[in-house]
Amino acid sequence: MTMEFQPTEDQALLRDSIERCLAETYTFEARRAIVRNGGFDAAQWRSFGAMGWLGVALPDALGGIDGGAEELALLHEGLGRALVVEPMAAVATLAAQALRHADAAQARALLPTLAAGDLRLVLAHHEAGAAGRWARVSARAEAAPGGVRLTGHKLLLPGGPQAGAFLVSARERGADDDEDGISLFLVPQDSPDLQRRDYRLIDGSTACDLQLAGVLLDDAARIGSPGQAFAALDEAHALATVANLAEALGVMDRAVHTTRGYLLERRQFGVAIASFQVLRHRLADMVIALEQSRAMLQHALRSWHEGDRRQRRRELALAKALVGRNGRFVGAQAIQLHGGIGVTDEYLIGHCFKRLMVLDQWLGDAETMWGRVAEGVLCA
Amino acid sequence: MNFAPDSQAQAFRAEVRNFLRDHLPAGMAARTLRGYHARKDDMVAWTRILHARGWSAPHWPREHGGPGWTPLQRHLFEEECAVAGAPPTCTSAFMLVAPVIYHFGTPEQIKRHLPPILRGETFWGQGFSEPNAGSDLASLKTRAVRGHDSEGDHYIVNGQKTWTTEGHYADWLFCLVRTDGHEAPRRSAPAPEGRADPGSAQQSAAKPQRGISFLLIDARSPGITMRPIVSIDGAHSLNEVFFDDVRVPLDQRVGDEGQGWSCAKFLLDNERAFSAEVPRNKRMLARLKALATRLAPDPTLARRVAEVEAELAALEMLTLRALAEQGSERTTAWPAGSILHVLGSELQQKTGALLVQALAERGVIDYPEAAEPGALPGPAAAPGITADFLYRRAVTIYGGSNEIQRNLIARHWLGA
Repeated sequence: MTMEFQPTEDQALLRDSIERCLAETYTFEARRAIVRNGGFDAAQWRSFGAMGWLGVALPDALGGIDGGAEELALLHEGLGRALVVEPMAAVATLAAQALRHADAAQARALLPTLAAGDLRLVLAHHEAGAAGRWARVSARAEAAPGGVRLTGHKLLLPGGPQAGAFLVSARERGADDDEDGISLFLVPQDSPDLQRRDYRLIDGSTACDLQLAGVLLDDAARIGSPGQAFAALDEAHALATVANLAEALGVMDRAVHTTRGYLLERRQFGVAIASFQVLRHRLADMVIALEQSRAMLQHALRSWHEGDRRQRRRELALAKALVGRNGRFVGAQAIQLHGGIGVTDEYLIGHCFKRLMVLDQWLGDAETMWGRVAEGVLCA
Repeated sequence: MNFAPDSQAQAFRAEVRNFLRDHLPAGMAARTLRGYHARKDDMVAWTRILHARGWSAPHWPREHGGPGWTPLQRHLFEEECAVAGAPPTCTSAFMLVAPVIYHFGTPEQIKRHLPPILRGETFWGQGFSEPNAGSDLASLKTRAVRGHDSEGDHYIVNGQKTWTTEGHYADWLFCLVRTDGHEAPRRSAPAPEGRADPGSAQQSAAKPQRGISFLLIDARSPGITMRPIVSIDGAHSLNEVFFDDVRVPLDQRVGDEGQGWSCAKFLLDNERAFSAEVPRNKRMLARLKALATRLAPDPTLARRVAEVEAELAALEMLTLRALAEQGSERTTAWPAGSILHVLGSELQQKTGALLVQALAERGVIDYPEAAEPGALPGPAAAPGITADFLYRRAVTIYGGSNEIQRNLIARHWLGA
């Protein structure tokens, strides 16, 4: 078998159906309405479930359509192109994969419901300063009468405001960055002492912080073996990174195509501005960044199959950094080449830029990720 | 789409690695890894070692003596060779002129020229650029006029070529010459993109690409004068070539008279296909990591090295994609050659600059290639690094400057 860059027939069908469906239902105007109404559309979510998109990378037995990382990437490239604001990667990949790999019985019980669109589960794992360090957990799970008590603070959880339940990571033993000692707990969103602060992000999507102010749970709330959740978190973050990269690629692709259209249409000094070499070269640089990002997604997909988990994390971090950097470049230049209209809220291109900023920040921004990779680069 | 690992590729890589371990002489590898221009004796010796294994022409079809590898195998082979420190073979011969000969040449030309190239017996130099025809290659002026004497039909060639890499090693030159008896027609508008777009050749009679022919010229013909051009690294790898009434037999023209631009376009497309230079970039990154770890393990440099590493990973996937698409209609769907050229050349310069930076004060010492080890201060690994960095200023200029490449990318997206 050799590396195959072109989609198979099934993958092409999936890609086309995603593109077609979003082009019809998720227009820029429809998106604007969703953002105005709180950044989440329950009907869209149900239809994503009905089309199998919430279970793209889940096995058949768990309510999915049995796809792999490649199919997930195709889906998210389409979601990116349409600037979808619903928390697809957060719920259907990050939370779902963490649950799947942490606890087979709970996965069988919950994931079919999640894939159908009826359960919105959000992984409450990210903490301040944790970008690129998937084992960083300061939140504690301490023994309490009849179970455990959770304390700690989680932030920037996309989909949190709409979550029916949270999958919360907390440490039962060890130091902040130890891979050993992390457990996952299923916490209903209305648990006492779970304080949620909701907010909107700049791209119109929503997220929240969670304060775990001594949340009391019985032992049955623990997902998987005590202290052994890191492997599941690792799988989930790796796949969510792939989704994130693909989504950024989709946004970049939309931004470059939109800019191309504008350069050809806009006239100044009596000619189309596409005739000015300085603008042509800028577009060329955007195209180069786009294709480099596509290649980096493919590198991430290749790394996804890498057996050595440490090596895989490193390659994915490189990809996250490069695509984050390129996304900011493409987004910023797309605005620049549009001139004044590029900074207006009513026009598409500024929303591409904001979406790229959010995608960069989630799971580790480029600046931080370069630093993380650099920590090992000169001793490898 | 499937990016799962490929066990056959891993086995092939191991086979190449074993071959290099057993057959690449250590001294040759050490010389190559320093970064100075390869010596002719190393290039010849290495070509013969490869030929003994049937591997001297990885890109040629099997019928002409190639090993019959897939594009991926060729890529893996070149990568392993570069990282191990194998010297190059004669690029102008193996990668540039040979494919033109087996595509457009007569059976006699194929029989005469390919076997000696394969065995490392003939070296070739390229005669395309002229002092006033660089990026605007089609404005070339070197003329070939038909003549006849007792030995038969021939051309008489007059003019000047420049930037002939390793011309002083060459036994043969391949040249673009004007055979229409006219000066290059003037363009209506100054659009210096000839080199970059040989594709629009035969569109109109007024195009300067018409009337150009592709000649193979014995480098020792009477009337040829070669002058060295010393480049800013202090070395001599480039040459000017002067043609003064040089007699070239008619049967040394490849393709029809006036159709040389088709050969040139074909050749330049081949040149672009490997212009990403992933193998060389890998070698440079390995050197950078080793050097920086020893000399300058600071976080700022480490971060820049990480960026280079990421860009190289992307460049490799872009190259593999372009190779996988070779020969299919998908190649025209994106401006692959230009994107590879821009990214590959700029990455070489970026990595080279970091290598120099890692040397700190020693990065501006002039280390002559011939200097005895230890004759000058600085780490043993220093000689060659800055010379290579200086020479690599050329990589964003040759083969169509990066500005031309950006024009081409923009044309693909925006039209002319």
